[in-house]
Amino acid sequence: MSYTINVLRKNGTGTLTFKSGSVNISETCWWDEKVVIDAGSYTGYATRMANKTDGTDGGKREAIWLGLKVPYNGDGSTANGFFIHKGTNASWSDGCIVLPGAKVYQMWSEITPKETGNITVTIKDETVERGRPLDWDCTRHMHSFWGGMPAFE
Amino acid sequence: MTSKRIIPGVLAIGLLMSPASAQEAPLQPDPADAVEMIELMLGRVPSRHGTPLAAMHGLADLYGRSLDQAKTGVSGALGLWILLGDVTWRTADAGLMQSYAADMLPLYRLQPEAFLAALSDAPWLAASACHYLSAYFGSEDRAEEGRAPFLENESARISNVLPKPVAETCLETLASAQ
Repeated sequence: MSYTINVLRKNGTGTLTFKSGSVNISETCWWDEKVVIDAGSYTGYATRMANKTDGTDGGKREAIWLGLKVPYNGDGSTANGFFIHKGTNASWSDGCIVLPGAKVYQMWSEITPKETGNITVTIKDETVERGRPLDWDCTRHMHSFWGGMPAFE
Repeated sequence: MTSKRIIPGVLAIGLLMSPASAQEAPLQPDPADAVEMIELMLGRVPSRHGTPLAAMHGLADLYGRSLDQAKTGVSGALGLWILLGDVTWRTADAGLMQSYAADMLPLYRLQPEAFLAALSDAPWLAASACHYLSAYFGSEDRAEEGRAPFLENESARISNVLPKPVAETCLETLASAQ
């Protein structure tokens, strides 16, 4: 079984989406704006963070690990310790992507088996596409000026 | 923070794991841990781990093992744990940086003299250590309110032990949110 996690970033917060079986998550997420994972596609592993004891189920913290040599800050730097894990704001992150613990746990529980690279994590940045400006609609503006369509008789 | 920062002290591992400090230790640091730290500094996947996932878990285990040894109060072990924190900082290991931000200040409070002695022996470790001490406040929803009292209580001790420019930089770091 394989899984997909999508992260769409925009202006300091993002939306993480995950769908599998009856689980359908669309949740606000955060990250440290000084350490920003490059947009791209990464292999994720459902695991636990061994040195964090605040797991939602009372064990170690549940997390999705993004693998080795993950690029960040767009300057060729790479790092090995990026996760998706619980957090309520960017203060929970030194580069990890964080979202409320209940949602992480719901997503993490759905993924089996654990400790396997069976997740595709896709990170995108929202882009604004600008097209041609709308044509001037003189009729619509006449409506607002006169309070209704004038009668041309 | 980028992985491009120069790592200044590979040879310091030899000093931190010198026979003198190792002889005092009830828990002997494992030489294989030092090899793993050097490999991490060089950007390699530690050779004792067979897979990337095993390497990630192995580093987390190294952190926990080093922290346990540092809590024994043996200065060599404390220095090694601080050194691993420096490697973590320079390589931007986000998961472990959060662990250091949570765990370093409580350890400092347990043994401030030994902690500052380790930094005095290797002042280049102060930049990362002071970052982690400062990051304790405010991260992971911990209160910012403790920052000012900590700074007030520890400024004199830090200034007395660390070289003056190192102490000044450290105190500046401690005064601001990370």
